[in-house]
Amino acid sequence: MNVPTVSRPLLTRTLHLVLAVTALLCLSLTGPAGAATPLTELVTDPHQSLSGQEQDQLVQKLTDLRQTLPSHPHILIVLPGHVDDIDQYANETFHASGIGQKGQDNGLLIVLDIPDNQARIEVGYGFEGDLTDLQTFNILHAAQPDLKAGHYAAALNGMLDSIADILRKSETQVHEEQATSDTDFNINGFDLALGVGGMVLFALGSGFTVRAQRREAQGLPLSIFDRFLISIPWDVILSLLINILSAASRNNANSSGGDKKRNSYKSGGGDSGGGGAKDSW
Amino acid sequence: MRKLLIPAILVIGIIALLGSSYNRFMGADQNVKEQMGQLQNEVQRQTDLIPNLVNTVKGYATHEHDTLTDYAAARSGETPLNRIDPRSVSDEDLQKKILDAQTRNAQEIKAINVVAEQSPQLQANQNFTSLMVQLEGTQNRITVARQRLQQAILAYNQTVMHFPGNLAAGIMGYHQRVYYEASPAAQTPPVVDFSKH
Repeated sequence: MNVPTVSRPLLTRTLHLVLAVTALLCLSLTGPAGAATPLTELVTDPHQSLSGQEQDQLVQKLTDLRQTLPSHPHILIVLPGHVDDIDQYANETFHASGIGQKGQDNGLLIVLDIPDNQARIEVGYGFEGDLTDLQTFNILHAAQPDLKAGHYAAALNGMLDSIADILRKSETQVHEEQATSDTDFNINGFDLALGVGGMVLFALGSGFTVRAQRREAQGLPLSIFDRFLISIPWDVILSLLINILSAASRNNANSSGGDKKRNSYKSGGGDSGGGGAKDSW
Repeated sequence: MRKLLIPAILVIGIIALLGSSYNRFMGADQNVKEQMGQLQNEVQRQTDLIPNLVNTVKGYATHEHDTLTDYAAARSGETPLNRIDPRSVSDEDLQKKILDAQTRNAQEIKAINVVAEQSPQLQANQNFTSLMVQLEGTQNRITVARQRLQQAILAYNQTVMHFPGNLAAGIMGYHQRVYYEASPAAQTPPVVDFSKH
């Protein structure tokens, strides 16, 4: 008897084709070339220009400001090393990171390009009325002595104090929890799998139950499985599943915005239109 | 009954295709209009700042005085860009108006830069610095608005030109849009030495 077999070259060619298609798909999913890398930390310092202690203090300060100021600003700091165009870098990074809450745009980004002695404060749309270009320029200008002396942490602390003073006097108020739960309605992988898997099982089970009930109504013999299905309180299970999904999404909303890990930042969907100022030292 | 089934499926398919295409065209078109409006506002914001700067600079200007006065006279009586209703003009006309305004602003900024470079006293003037910082801010906003307009036009054109949307786009009056290309002459950045303050 002839058993059909797949020849080895054909198998290899097919494997190569699958790999090539997969690689193309992966490339197409990586986004446009040159797109800015989103920030995932409150203070991003890849070249370690700040000491660990200074970084911790800044993270604490940023967290405190977000919690205490009426506008609940999402302020991020990045020391990226050399950048070609600090205006473009700041705006694209702000946009890619989604700093601030969606609709409120209460985000701020401080960029310190130490190799080129330049700094920029990028202001979210929501703060353009509170922090004008001139005010941000003056804040940067006031930090010049510290920047020139290489005291970057002191300079950043000074900038944050000045920003906080201005925002404390501003009338912009944001309801942090409400806005966060509105924009971050996501659930984590495990909860999603649990909820969706449960819903699929529920749909299958209830379908078989309807069939069993129909057989019962027609007076046909029922199997043990059919009797088991009919005895299950499907309404209680549905209610339980809905509660699991709802609780999971609530937990996620409460933990969004980088609270799980102190220095982490999760995009809020905010944006900037190029407001702010730059200065060099 | 079976004879009607295939035409019915075809009709439903065409209606579904037209319906979903229309929604995508509308969304992409709306996005382009929003970004165009944003660019109009930012260029107008820059235009509004320049007369204040010219007034500050005039006292320090010697050779450029007449040039600055001529520009100021040329812009008087014009309709501000942000008051032009995009529905009343074609895309090309609106883009030309924005580009003309941007080019003239750039020429004025260039003349202001010349005066600033020749006059250290002007660079030390607080009012001048304040206006130049604002001008630099508007220049950056214009750059961002222009990039986002280009991205919006690209997304719109892809929606309109790609299959199967291209089958419905022409019928619904959605055609390919031209890109907003600002010439280098329209992008003179303000120059000021802030270290003097």
